[in-house]
Amino acid sequence: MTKQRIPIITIGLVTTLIGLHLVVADKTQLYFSAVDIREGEVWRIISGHFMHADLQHLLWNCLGLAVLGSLLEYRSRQLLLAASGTGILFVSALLLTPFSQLDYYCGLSGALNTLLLVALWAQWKLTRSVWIIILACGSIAKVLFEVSQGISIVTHISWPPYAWSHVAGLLGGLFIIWIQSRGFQDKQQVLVRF
Amino acid sequence: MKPIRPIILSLIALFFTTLWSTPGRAAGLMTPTGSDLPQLEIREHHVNVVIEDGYAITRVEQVFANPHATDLEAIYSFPVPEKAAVGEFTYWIDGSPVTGEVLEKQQAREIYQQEKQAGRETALTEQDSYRTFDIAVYPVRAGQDVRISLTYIQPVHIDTSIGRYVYPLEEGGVDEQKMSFWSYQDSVEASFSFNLSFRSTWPIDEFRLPQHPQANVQQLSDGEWNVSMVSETPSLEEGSTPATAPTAVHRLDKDIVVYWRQVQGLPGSVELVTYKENPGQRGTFMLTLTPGDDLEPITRGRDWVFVLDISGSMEGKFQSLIEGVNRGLANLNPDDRFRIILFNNQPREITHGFENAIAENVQNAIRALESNHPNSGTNLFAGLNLGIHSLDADRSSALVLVTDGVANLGYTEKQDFLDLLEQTDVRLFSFVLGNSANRPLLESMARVSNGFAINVSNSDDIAGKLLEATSRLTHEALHDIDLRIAGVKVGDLTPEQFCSLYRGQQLIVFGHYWGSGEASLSLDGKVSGRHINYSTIFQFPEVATLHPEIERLWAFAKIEDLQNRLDYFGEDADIEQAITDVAVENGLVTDYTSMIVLREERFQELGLKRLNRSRVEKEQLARQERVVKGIRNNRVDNSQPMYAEPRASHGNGGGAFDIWMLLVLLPLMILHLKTRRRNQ
Repeated sequence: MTKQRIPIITIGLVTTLIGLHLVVADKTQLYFSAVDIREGEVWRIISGHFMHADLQHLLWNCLGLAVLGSLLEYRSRQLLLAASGTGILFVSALLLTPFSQLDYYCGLSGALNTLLLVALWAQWKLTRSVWIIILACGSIAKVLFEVSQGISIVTHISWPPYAWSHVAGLLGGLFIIWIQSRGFQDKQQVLVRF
Repeated sequence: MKPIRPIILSLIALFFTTLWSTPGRAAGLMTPTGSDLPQLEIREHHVNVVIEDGYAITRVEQVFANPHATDLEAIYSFPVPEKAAVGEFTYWIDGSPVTGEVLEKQQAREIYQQEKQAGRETALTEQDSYRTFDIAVYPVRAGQDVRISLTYIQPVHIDTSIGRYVYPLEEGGVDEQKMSFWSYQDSVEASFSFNLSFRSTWPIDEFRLPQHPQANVQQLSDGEWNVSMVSETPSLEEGSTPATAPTAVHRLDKDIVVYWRQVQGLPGSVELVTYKENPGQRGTFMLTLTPGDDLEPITRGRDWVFVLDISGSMEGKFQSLIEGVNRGLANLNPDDRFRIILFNNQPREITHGFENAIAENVQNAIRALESNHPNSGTNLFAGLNLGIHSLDADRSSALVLVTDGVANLGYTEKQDFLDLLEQTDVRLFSFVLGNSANRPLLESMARVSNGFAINVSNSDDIAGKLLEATSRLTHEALHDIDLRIAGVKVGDLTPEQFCSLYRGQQLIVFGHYWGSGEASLSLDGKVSGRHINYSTIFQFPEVATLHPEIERLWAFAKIEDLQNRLDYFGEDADIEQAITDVAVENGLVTDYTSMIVLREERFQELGLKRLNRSRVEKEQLARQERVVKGIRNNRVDNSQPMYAEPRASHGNGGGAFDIWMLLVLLPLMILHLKTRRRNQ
């Protein structure tokens, strides 16, 4: 039986997102910018994911973080931190490559896709429910559609959508799943056991 | 390699932060200050905008009410919209709409006075230089209403895949004489509406009104969007009386800015819109070139000389300016150099020559800036002169001018400014704040220096304008542009001379053509000394009747060219007459011509031909036909694309979870809770 716990990390992360949006007047100093990062402004690797273009952008991502963060934190705080960090790293790595020609990027949704995939996998390990397969396929299909069309399906934020960040986030999720699976096989220490 | 974009971005940011300021004056009904004349009311104000085929048609319909016991004259003033050709003015007389005719300015004014003295219905629309359009209507009968409408057309530019439309209302308050003479009544008492219909085959992924989030934005179909805002007084049930005095449903004190963003990755293109009634006649065309994104980023360092207006009209913006300067300079690299020049009555430098942007120098500059206070007049010439003479010839430099006003001290003639800029090889980048700055002067200076002028409304999305300016400054530009069309006879091309083309900018060319058939288009230019050529072929149609407005747009652009010639050569009766002739022939309100409405029979009695009425009827029919025919694709370089690269767009992006994700998150939550309960 899993111990009941207050998702303090999730609450802290959501509070940080909202606080940054409200407090920071000049957001251009914190957006992800590959050029500025190469110039030494390395904080943008992290801060860019915590900044949002407008209120709608912020609220949807806060909702996603609250749900997925709580689910993962219920299992393991380590797992939540590892998934968040991996998501941010994978998305940042994509944005630093010449493939991404963005001047600026902001938003946590790339990393949230990592959390989503890990949360689905965690649930699959516990339930083996066919619904998990359906949800995973639906999530991947949505991202592929957005990438192929260059649009976001419903949400209209004030910045152009960049669906490739979601792909990078899903890859981050696969990476975590792979590490966890190896842990099971090797009977080594893993972030969480189900 | 030293990227300069963050530096430029920070520096430009400071200018846009100045826009959060105390509001200026508004569009509205004017009454002489201190007079005993009672105030009229604006009962209704309705704006209908149609944007399609590369231009916008704005129709403003108003009802003025006179609740008093005497007949009054209504004088309504509003800021001149950017590159707007006013070609239709209608006054409802005895319940029927009467369309105006364009006459030479003095003649129109005399007829208006004559009709007014005789007590007959009349109305006049005049242009007060670059500042305002002024509409006078007489009489507004005691206890009655009058209805008028005004229509203007303007080309719509897409910049870096972002379209922008501005309905200007905010008056900058830079004309002190006018401000002290008139008081403004800008409240709409009964009904206000703004309705914008947008049709385009280029896919759009977002509309945005930064200062009007209450606007209703709807996508009606592929390529068709509608933006609307309505505010009305609640209707009263029969027999009931209002509990309180009526309050304004809207105030005409804030510009309405509408943006639309094209989907990323659209191709560079050439679009053609034509008007030609008969095969044997002369046709008119509008050619819109949207270049591919092939201009390289600039990587070398530069010196920046900032020339900042601190005249009295900048009051209220100055603290924001200081904050912006502080943030901007703090982000400069130590190797970059800057100097700051302020001007009001006289210019003065607050830096000590070029200074490297180390922390100590930046702090000193900020302290020096803080010790100033905006006041006095605007000696723009002296400010620019000091800026130009402070440049270091051995370094790549740029002059950035920020002003919200007009030159009213020292040299004030446009010719003096153009001579000054021609002395030096420097790019001037102007940021024109508000609707009342001397845009013609600032745009002419930008043209002469191969720079650019960006107009910024107080209702603009500051981050968006920042990206627009940054995008232009960080990339090479296409200079020495030469455009040629062969295969079909063309002439009267306007603009006569092309400015440099910066990243994301479109090139819009108007002209006449004779005959029809295949034509070749060739665009030559230089990028950092390298010769560049783009070319394509397309067809000029034999007959095209859907866009009669193109003739007025051509005429407006031609008048701008003639005005530029006047600026270079000084007063010239022939050029002034040419402007008047083009304006009268095409029914346009200009500095030299006005539009007058009389009772229908009075036009005949005074021997005034109803040329403009025929033109307006033709345009109205064409508009109805366009709606019936649906959305058109005007691209003509499909068979031989002119540009290899897709058009420029702002390289920023984000991703968001959305309502679809609830379909995933909710079942996941339910599964989680069920598992938890089972485990417990």
